[in-house]
Amino acid sequence: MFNLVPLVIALPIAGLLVNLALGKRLRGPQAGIVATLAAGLAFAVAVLLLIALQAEPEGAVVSLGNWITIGSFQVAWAFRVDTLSVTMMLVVTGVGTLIHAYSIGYMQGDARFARFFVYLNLFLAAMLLLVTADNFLLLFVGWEGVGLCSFLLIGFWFDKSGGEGWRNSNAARKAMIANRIGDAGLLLAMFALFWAFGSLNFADVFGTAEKSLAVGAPLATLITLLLLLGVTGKSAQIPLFVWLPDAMAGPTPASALIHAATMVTAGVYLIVRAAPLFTLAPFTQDVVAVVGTCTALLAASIAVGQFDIKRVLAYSTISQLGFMVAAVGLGAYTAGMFHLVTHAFFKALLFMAAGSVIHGVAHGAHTAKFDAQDMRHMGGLRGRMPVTFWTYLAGALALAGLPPLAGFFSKDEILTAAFEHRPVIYVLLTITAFLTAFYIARQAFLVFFGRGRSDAAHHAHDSGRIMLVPLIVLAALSVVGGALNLPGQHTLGGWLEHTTHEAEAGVFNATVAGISTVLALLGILLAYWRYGRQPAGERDPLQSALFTALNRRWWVDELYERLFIGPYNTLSRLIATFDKTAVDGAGLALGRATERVAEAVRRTQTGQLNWNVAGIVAGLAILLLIVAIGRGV
Amino acid sequence: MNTVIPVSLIVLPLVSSPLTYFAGRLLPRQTALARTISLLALLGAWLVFALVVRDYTAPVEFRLEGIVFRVDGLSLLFAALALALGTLAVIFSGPYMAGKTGEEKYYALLLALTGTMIGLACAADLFNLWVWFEAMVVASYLLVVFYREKSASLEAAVKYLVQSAVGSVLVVLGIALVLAQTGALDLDAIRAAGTSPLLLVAGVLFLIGFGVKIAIVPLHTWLPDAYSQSPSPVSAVLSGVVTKAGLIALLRALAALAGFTLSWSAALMLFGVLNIFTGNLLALRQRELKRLLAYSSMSQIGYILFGLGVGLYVGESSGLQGGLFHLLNHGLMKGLAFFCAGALLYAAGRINGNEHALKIDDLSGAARRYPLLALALTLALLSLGGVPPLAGFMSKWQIFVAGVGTGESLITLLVIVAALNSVLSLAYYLPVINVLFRETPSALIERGRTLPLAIIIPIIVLAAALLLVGLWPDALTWLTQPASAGLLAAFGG
Amino acid sequence: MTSLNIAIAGALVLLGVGLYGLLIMRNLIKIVIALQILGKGAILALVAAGAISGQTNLGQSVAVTLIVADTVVAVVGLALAVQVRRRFGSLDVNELSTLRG
Repeated sequence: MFNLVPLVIALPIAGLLVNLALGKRLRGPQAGIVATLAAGLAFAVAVLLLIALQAEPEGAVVSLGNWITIGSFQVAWAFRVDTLSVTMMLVVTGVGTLIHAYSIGYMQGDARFARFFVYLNLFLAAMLLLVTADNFLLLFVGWEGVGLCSFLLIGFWFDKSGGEGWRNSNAARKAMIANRIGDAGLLLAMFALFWAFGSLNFADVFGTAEKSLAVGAPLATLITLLLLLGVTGKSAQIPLFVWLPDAMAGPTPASALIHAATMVTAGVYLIVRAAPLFTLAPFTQDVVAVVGTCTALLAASIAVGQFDIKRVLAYSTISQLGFMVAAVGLGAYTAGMFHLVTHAFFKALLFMAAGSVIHGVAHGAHTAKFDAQDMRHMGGLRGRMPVTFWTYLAGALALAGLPPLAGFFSKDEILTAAFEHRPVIYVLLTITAFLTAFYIARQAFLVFFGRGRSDAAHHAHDSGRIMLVPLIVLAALSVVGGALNLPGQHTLGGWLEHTTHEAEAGVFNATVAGISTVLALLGILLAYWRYGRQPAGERDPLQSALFTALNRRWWVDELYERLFIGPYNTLSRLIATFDKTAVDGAGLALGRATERVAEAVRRTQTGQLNWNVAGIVAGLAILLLIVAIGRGV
Repeated sequence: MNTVIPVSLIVLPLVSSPLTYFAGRLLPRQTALARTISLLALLGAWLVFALVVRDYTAPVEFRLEGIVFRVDGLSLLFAALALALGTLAVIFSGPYMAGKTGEEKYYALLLALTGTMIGLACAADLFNLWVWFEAMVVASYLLVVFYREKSASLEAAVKYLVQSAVGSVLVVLGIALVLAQTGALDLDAIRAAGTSPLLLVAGVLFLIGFGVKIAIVPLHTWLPDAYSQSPSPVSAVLSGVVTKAGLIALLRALAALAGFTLSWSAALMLFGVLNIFTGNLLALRQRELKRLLAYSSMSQIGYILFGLGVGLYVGESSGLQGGLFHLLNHGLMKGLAFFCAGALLYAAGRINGNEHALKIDDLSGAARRYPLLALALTLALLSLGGVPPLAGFMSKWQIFVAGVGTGESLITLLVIVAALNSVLSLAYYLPVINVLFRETPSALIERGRTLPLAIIIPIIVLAAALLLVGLWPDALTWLTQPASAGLLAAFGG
Repeated sequence: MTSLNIAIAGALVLLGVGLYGLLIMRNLIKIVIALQILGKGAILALVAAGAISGQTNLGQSVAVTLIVADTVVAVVGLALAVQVRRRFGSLDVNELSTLRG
């Protein structure tokens, strides 16, 4: 049954081919149905693989044959079925299918409806290639593929009027550049791996590394640091996180799928996959934990100061990714993966609920210039959009980490791991947890409670069934998802152990759980006190120097602008001048010289028969002469 | 293996050739019959080919009235290429050659050409090799001069004939030398007879004699005329397969001359780089599409020669495999490019001997009217220019890696020259692509008619093959690997 | 063996004359004749080679096949010459140089 694994990738490709071929002929939602069907079938295959794995938890590698053979260097089309990859497959295809279905409603009437689903399917295929690959090169193909889809989807509305299209494509470009910096790290890591181990196969690389390298070997540290650079790009960690908030320019379902549930978790997956290497590099592990923790805290604090409904969630995503990265940095791979799964449920849910809100408000809007994403224009939507509200609430409470919702258990495992190994990280992450509860409660109060603060908010109505059903499913998962790895049971831990060989089962720590629950409640209370009691006006009640700093995102973007982008632009202007005068001059001269030579050579093609025969005779004569000289005749 | 099967691989196309001709003469208005017979014959040959491949474990030798044949890896590789382009050319020619005088002769000749090339690939003695070579060349004369009432075609054919004939005579002289020295013509027997300086001279004669057909500089002057004046499907077969038949013959002949492998490898590498560079320079300022493609063939053959030379030099199969891989890829890429050129000529209604009339500027705006065609031609050109991840890149890459792998600084230098030339070649491929995607359509494109399915099918097949091989270079290893191993063994490596 | 030496010398002379003719002749008919002379030289060389190596039968049987092939080339060449005379009004191969560059 493991042999089914290529189907997981082939099905979305089949879906996108159908849509590419028939895109113009399909009417109404048909293109969306095709794409959703493809994603759903891929999910079914993933479930079959799950069943097969129950019998043989060690999994298998399915090879379709060699891809590249150059001398001794071989790369195969090989796919890995093990507990880790199947977990990722289930999340990607499962949440992916729901988001596909939701998109049918959300993108209804868009001029490039079919194109959108082509991109979504392409993304699924690339993401599944990434998680099933059995070697670094194939993984890199998927890694680049999801980056490309992210670029295409962020800039999907590149043609919107009034400068917005321009902003969208700028956001896409920013994401591309940040990702490319990270990709360079991954590429260099691959070169180093090949140079050191002569292979890019996971099994070969990890096996050789474990045998030949001591713990703390400089080579392992170098390679893992390069991998970490890749992770910071794709998973939006310090210092490359700035692209993710801008990426919200894309359609909301794309944000939910790519920039919350799946693609951005690829970095976490990569660390878990390469765990044998990271175990050999304690220094890198510390760096990973610190990067994750700082990202989590910084992003959570910024989320407190945002007014755009999607931006809050974007920074929340960065912050939660920071949690996962910190977890895997601490060596708590199961906790990281657990949080990855539950986060995929509740963050996809929150994004889609936000999308539903934006959809509803935008439809209620009557003025042309109206920002349907600004929370200051909302309020009181609880009554007007009840299904959206209740599902949103489930997601928000899961994110806040209230027991017994999914987020509570997964976040608690990370906190416990930190508490046991690195008290400082524990303290910082606990503060982050408090901020998390505060900003999500702030958003809930601003959007759903109080009275509507605009005409549009008064006329908003709930979305159609195709959008609400995925919300309900995800809400249910957000509520009960914690059952995956309950304290004492450790279903997921035992399951992943077959792949990660992580023996340590997280212990439930009542103190840690108690403190985080109390702090979460406190955060919610504080938010109620600030935002819940009276309708918030244009100015935020927290207006202060601190709030301005949060609202302006600690000026990180401006800092990057000053530090890198400005000097880079100056440098490129300088180089351009140099290029136009000196290099172009030389290049032109070389080009002209080549053309002149080419013209001269062209004249040797006279078209005269005698001349042509002379060519043959001359060739023969010269060769015979060489032979004669060589023989000393 | 039963010898009937490999024999019929050669005999089937050859016997069907006169059948096709007579069918065409008996029913002069029903050329569809002639076309069907030739297509069936080729499909039959494919079937036989599949059977041979299925049972193939080691080279099979058989005799036909005292003439020795041997089916080995190289024969299979070349037979596959000949059959592939032959079949596609027959399909393409359906609408392309419809209603031309002598249509039945055309199909008969195409079949004969395919059959003689397969025979050549299986020949195991020197004279047998020459006879197949000569038969192939005669069949190709008649195809080149198919538009015999057009002066340009005549001119091309005269040059092609005279230069090829001189080359053939040189080959015969080489055979005479070998015979005088060793008293044998069987390739194995010649090899067993040992080495002598006169055999080196014989090798030079082979190199120049077969080199005319391979279009080694400075023996190449017939090539641009013949390629650009033939009917486009014939151009595809000429540049995709016939040129390489000369190369196969050369390799077979040289392999028999024991003790000079290093000299041959040096000659192949040097001629390779010379061909790459000269071909690129000749193509750089070319304004006619088919002539540009012809010159680019010279430079692509240079890569093949270079790869083979590197492989022989170090006695490792990776360079040979790269060279043979590029040989197959070039067949696909150049076949596709010539088919595309032919499709445009067909669209313009200029298929009556004005084959040279397709200027690059005429392609302007083709992407709007013929998106599929423009995409296929773009693929072919990018692949020829060695842009990853297309097929042409993969094989060039393999050749370069093998070259650098020798560790010789001189060869590394040649690799650098070859790689830079790959960039230089983009200087004439990219402008063509640019023109394809221009906004304003040329007069030719604007008045162009729609393309029938039989013209589109070969284009789609080859474009898909290019993509497939690019994404999965190992897809052709089953052909290149035994061929290169066999070749290496033949050279005594 | 003097007869063998004469054969070799004859072959060389024929080859020389043929190549010389191809290099300087401008009339297409004459070029075809030069090709024939070249071919005969090659045939003579083959027969001589057979004699030298003691494989007279082999050399001769190959030579016979060669004569056939040579004739085919001559026929095609002369047929082309007829067409050239018709289209170009002349047999001068220098007129046949419209395709250049």
